[in-house]
Amino acid sequence: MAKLTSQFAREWTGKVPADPGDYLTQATPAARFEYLLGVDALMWQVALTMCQPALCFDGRQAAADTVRFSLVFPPASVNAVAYVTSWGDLSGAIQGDIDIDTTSSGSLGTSYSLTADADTIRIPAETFGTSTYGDLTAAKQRSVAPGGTNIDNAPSAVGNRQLELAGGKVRSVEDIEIKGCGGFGVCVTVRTEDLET
Amino acid sequence: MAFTVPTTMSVLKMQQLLQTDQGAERLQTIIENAHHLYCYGPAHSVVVYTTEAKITNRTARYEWPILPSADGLDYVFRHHCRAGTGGSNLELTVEEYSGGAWNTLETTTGIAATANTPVTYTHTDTIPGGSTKLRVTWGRSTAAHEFTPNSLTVYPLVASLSAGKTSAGFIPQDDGLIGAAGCPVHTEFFNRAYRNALYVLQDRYQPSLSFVQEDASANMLYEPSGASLGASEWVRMGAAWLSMPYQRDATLDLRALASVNGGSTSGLVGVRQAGADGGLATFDADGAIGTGTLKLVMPGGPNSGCILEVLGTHTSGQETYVHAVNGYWKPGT
Repeated sequence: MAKLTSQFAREWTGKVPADPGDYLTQATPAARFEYLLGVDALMWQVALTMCQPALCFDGRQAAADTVRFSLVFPPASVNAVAYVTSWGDLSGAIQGDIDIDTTSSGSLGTSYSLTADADTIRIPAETFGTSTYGDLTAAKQRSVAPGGTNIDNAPSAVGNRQLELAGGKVRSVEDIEIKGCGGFGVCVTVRTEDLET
Repeated sequence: MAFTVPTTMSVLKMQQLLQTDQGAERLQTIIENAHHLYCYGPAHSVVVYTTEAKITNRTARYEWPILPSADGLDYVFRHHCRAGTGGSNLELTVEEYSGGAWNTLETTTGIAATANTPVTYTHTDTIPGGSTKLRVTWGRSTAAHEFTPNSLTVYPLVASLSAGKTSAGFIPQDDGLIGAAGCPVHTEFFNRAYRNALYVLQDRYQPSLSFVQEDASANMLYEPSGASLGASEWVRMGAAWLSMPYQRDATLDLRALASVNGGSTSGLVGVRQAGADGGLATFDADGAIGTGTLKLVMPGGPNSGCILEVLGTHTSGQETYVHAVNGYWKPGT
């Protein structure tokens, strides 16, 4: 019987006991395997509960178009979808391409500004003012598009187009470098990893 | 006799849990998983600076509100900065604000930097439970050399546990209690593991929004009156996607730091959810930490999330300095 991460996905809003002691606080009833199942599941429910922040910044200055930051992902996360924010500048110039490199997808650059290579994920130029969406799991969720959308299925930089994460049974810390972007968020959508393997 | 903290979580297969003639070893695994959750939690703060590029002949300082664990945990601070021209060292100071004063967590003048390269610097320090702000100052040992601060991510990494109930309510469990071969499973053992996991969940605010500029008004990159909109008009200063898988209509705890050069300070900073009919959380630009909440409208499901917007406005003839806007989420709210 597989033990899938999706089994432990849980909505918490208004559903956390105000006092955790109101459940299983007594010496009775006697320990039963049902309770072991519940407690074991709770460990994974807590471990997998991580939101990913809305990061607002300016990565569009000509002299500083590339920023690097780290995000912490829950255990057993193997890939993710990125949401990028496009901005025009005050002159009305249209947002250019957005390039992303990550630790697990390839190697991060060593120059001041990100240089696209085979590991780079490219989100093509969008129109002024839209909050666009970039699909980094190209083959899987190409059509999902909140906000403006212009997914390039044949990017100039090919190679690995997934934002890969380390996976494993511990949280992972991923370094992400992005060029030409005005905001970033990322969603870990794949929750079907088998924890028993 | 020890408080074991595994570096990874362990998986109990379903048959191990269901076989009632198995001993307490499976419970020990659950207990150790609870210990792991305490020591390897989610991020505490993630900030990407909105800042001038290639700074020279001065330092750059950033300050933002935080909501740390009540237990005064050890945290890893992972900084990213880009060196421009020149090969002099980068200089860094990190402080936290508690007890009515700034306290230095880390200060160094020895971060090696090669011209035109990104630099990552990591250190581990304790943030007291009562701390309300972090402050980071970057510079270079040769003032004329360029630098561009990028970001800081702070996440807990507790090396070991000791006996006793923590301020957050967590009670570590000693291996010796159930270490004997064939030891039976006692209700209290899994009661405590259950409660420990929930206490960890409720103690750790997770970062959900950040927008941080320099704390010196003269060095700020964006100021609302600089836009072409008039006084009292909201200027969108930042927007990005918040991801909260499976959560529906969560409520964020918001914090803001802002100031003005004159005039009224009331309600000059805002946070709202784009495209939602929900409320607008507003904050005064009075130099103190502003607090508020924002109830989100989200569908739930694996892709649940929303776009958050950071807004600023100004009064006629005056300027508003939005230093920091941060959102935190405690599961359950």
